[in-house]
Amino acid sequence: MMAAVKKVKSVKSQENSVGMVKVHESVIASIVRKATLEIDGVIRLAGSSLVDNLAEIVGSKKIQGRAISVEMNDSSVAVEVRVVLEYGVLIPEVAEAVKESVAAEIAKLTGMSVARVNVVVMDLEDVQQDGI
Amino acid sequence: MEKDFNNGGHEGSGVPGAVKIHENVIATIVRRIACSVEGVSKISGSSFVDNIAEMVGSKKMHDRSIIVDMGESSVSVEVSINLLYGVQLPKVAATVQEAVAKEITKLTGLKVARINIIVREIEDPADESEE
Repeated sequence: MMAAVKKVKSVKSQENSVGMVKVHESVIASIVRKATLEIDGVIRLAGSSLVDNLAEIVGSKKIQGRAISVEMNDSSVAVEVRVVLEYGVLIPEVAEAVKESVAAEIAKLTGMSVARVNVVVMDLEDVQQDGI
Repeated sequence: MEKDFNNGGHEGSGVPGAVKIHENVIATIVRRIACSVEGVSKISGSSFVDNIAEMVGSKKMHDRSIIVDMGESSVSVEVSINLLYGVQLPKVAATVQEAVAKEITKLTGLKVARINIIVREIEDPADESEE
């Protein structure tokens, strides 16, 4: 809407010879989600999906309790992801694996440099045997 | 908000960024391990109050059966438990302390400063089955 006039902070742009490539924050969020869930020992993201969906709809960065928060500036991106891990795993190891996976995937797909990946372990749960 | 987390330690290897462990994680470990020790009947306290406290995220509420205090690089826990009638309280309590401390250190890598045990009640299984 106002994007052309006002500089939107959530979009990262890169100038090339033809024009500009912009990457939206939600792209980063998708990458983070995927790269995080890929790691063994991660059960799920820890945000309330209700809050996340609402936040997405209203486009608010300020709402607390989102599972993934993304901060972009001119040259780099910083993310924080909240996760629930499997009971029994070594938390520092799994968290480190998440950090690496997320950083590598963001760098690979977007070409941006990753300033920080914060991992917040919110709880531990058992793997659900039945269900999906 | 930040006080809920332990911000110590795990920075430095590879990708920059902190690993924070929420106090829920510690509470989950405590609950599970304490209940698995022989002689422990259950975590005491009103689960109702605990659930409400959890919902509103209040650390201040009294009567919570597991209280977690995260310091810079270590964690302290207070847990109220019900034991079975007939067991030696100090012995079981000490076992709980050791088991909980060991598991927290193993899973989180955090140092455990204190584990306080409050024996809240003694339950007699025979009594309950007669009623």
